[in-house]
Amino acid sequence: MTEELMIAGCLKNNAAAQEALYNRFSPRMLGVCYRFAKNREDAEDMLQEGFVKIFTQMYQYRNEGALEGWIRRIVVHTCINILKKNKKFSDSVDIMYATGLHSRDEMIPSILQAKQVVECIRLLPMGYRTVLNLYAIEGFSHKEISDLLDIEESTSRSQYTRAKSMLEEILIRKKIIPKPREKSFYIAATAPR
Amino acid sequence: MERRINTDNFERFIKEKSDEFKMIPSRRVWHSIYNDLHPSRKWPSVAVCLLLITSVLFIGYINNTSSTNTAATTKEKNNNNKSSLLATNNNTIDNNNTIVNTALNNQNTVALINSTSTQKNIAKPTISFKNSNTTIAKNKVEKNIADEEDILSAEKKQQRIAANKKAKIKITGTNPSENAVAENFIDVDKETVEAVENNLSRLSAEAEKELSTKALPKQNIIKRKVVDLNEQKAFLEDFAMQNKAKRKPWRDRTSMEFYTTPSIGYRLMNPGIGYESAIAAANANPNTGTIMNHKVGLGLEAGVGITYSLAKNIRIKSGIQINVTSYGIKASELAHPVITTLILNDPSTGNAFVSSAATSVSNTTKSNNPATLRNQTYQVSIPIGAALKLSSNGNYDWYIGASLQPTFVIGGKANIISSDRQYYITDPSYIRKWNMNTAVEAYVNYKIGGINLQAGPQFRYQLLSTYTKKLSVSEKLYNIGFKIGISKNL
Repeated sequence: MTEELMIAGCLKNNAAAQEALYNRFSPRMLGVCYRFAKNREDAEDMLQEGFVKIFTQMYQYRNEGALEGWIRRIVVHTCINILKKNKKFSDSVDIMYATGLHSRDEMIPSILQAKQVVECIRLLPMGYRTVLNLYAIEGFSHKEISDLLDIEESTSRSQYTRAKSMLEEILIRKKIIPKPREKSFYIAATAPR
Repeated sequence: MERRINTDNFERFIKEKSDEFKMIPSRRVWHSIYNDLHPSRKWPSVAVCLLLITSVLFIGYINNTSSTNTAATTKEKNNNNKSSLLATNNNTIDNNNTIVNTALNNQNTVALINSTSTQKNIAKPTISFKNSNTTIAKNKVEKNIADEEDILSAEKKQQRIAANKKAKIKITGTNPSENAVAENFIDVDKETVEAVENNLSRLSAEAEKELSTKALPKQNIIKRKVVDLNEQKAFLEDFAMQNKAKRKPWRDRTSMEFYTTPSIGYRLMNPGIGYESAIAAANANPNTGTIMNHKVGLGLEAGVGITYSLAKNIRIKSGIQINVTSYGIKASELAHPVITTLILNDPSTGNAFVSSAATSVSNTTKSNNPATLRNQTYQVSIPIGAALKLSSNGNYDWYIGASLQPTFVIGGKANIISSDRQYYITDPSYIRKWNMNTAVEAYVNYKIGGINLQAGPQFRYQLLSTYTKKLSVSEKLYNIGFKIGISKNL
């Protein structure tokens, strides 16, 4: 089913079209939710709420951008709203937490690199993780993040800086990325395949 | 700058890897979304639930039906099996074999008839031992066997063959009455008859082939038959357990009670009609200065009864009880008999007349030999009465009750005052054998655990004179007692 047909069907509240759209985008959107959520169950709850919003607000989609981007924005906002409701993102950073990451090494499964990276992101404190997700992965600006999370822009910046360095340290420790002196790694890793 | 490039690459790396990440959500998520979007379209789940419930009910109904049919046939089977067991109790294991096969065949036959015919046919599952012995005869051919599984297989086939044979026998019949039933049966289900015959020939061939190649050790057969008998027994016990007679409502309303009533008793004494004129005619005027010195005596009532609750507040009851009544007489025993008179009634005319009697007891306490006499009776009664609940408060119920008590007087002691009131004539033959008593009572009933405790006062009054009609003097006894009882629902 093409995107146009799916959208048309969803606008008519057609269950088949809705299911087709859900099947196409739900795996990637669950990945997004998983980066924000505390666990898989919470991520699925976020996904459910997000897709209900998608289907009920489908009339707002104007074909001006990629459908996936529109869906992703709704899902991310849903995640943030849920986190705000639970005040998860405002967890303070604890340096002891960062140093204590050694004890959580076993939580990182050694499977695909993408999963490893996501699991490392999930090791960050909730506040760091949220800002990192929004800025580095979802493309929000610090201004948008500050509005979204009701925090200062400077706070968003500082949290992001700390989150990035903490994540880098974790990734290095897990040998997912090399130490900074091996400059060619990022270029090789991000080169188009 | 180098650091900046590295940082940008790091962010890109993180973004790419994160975007690559996918997870398959559980199906629950879509169902939840679907239900949120289509709240009125939950019919699939409703339909599934309805289907499930219907299936469960249907299975339950089928099970109950088969249980009922089994109940109908088991009674018949029990009778047949019982007679078979009795007849062959002291026989060999071969005979036990017969019993088991008969029972099994019987079951199979009844089951077959039940599934294809009417209840009329169920009531006549007649299986002869001759036919069963035919089956056993085949078993006896085998002597040695290789393994137990083969035995089981062969046995099962044998039983199926036997069942089919019974079905055939039933259908064809051996006498006119059976044929009548059989014809009716055939009309009902001819296809079944054909199927049975086909099965019979096929299974016979298979079983004979198997049995001819394998020999059954007798020991194993014995063991298996014992197991089968135990299974039969277990089945019957289980059936009895599962089909207990329902508790009838009347039992809930009925209770048995035991009670005893210690009491004090006295009498009401009246001269009969014509008493005074008879005395005057005989010139035997009483000594008006002499007073009869009577006093109360102890009595006892004890009995067992059944009470039945007619309504919420009304109980009726009956039972059997014994009563001992007595009252005392202060008198003086004389050294020698004295002739005195009694006023009797002529049974033919009903008129009172004076009769002479000998006595050795004087109605005086001034002599040298004062004595206390007792007029006693020993009675057996059948009280028939009712009780009305006046009020109830928690475990306490307040009742009033009354009863009429046909009474048989077993015996007693009778000291009858003479016409001149000077003496007592001791003659228990004047005691009336059949009497009638009545009693009224009020009691509190206290419920504790599964029993009821009762306590309260009782007044018992004798409606007819203690003495026969022959004696002109009338004496009616009464007792005032305190009843204590215990009752329990049946």
